Amino acid sequence: MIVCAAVVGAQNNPLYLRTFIPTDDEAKFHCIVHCSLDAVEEKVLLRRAPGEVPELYLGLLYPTEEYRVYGYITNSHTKLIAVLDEFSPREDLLAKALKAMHAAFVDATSCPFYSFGAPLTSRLFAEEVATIVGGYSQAVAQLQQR
Amino acid sequence: MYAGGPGAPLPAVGAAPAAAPPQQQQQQQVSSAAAPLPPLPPQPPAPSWQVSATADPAAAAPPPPAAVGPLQQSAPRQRRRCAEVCNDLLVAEAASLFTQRQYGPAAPAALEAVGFRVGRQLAERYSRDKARLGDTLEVIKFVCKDFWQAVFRKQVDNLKTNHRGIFVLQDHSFRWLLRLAPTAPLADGARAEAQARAAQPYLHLPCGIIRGALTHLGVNCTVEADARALPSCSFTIKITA
Repeated sequence: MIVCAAVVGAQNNPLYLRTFIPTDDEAKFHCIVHCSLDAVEEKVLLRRAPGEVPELYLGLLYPTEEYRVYGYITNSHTKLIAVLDEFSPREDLLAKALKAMHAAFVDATSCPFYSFGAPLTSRLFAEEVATIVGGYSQAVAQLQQR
Repeated sequence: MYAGGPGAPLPAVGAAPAAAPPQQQQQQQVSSAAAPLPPLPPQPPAPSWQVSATADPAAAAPPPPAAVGPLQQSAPRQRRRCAEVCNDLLVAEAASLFTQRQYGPAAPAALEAVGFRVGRQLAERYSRDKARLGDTLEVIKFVCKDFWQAVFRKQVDNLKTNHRGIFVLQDHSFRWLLRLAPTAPLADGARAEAQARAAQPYLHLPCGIIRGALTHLGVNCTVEADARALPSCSFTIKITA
């Protein structure tokens, strides 16, 4: 399941971070997300093979002992980071979840009172992200039952 | 729901812009009632920043497939549409309000700042489903095609570059200035200048939108508009830094 979802801006400034397991050490997740930004840079700078369409979903960024970090970058260089505790998650479901998170991000930034670079304080965005994370866990559970 | 101005004839059905699925529905309605204009929608027009709801690729993107049911958003929101004339009137009113309330260079700067912010938000929205845009040229091409189509309801007609950081985007019939009254006939050279001056207050907002979109996608630049030959309008983009 997704234990942590984060949004990092174009200048690597944190915009949103939310953990979905009860933890008293949120700083650890801030650290994990921060470290994954280097991996994002590497993936973005990687020269693409001719004929390959570069996607927004970046895949696995780097593994730690307990978690694996997956990333997604938008065309405005905003990064969406998902920290999972599964060891081989369904990447297609995760890509869809990150895409849905991108849509929620677009809606949140369309607010006239939001200025780019500021942290995302929208309640609707937080609810959307929670729904998406819940939906991903349910979809994975459904597939495992089959 | 029609897309033209109130006094303008309906655009020829075959010549309608890029066929997003909702537009096919609109075309069917039009062809069945060829002579009379379809009635205005009953709901109030959406705010101006939902500029081209009919051609909005983000809203036209289908919800995730049923196989991942729990991920599907709860009941897709009903797409609100807005007649294009509302946007034209709002832009004209904004330009006149800012030029009345502020003196000197503050009015263009304020309009440009409004456009900048709107451009950033629109770029975020319209680049959502696109593949990752690589270099400057790809970003400019995105602005010329998809972004221009969504915001100004047509694509840019001509793109020129000197390969040294200057791009000129030429739009042969810039829709936001299509209804601008032509200036009084004078000697040819003076007329072009007079026309450019008359159109200038209405160009700060589009310039800001373009600059906001480019900056948001990673291309820092300045944008200037040239409306000497209305309705044709050309925008010069100079890449900085």
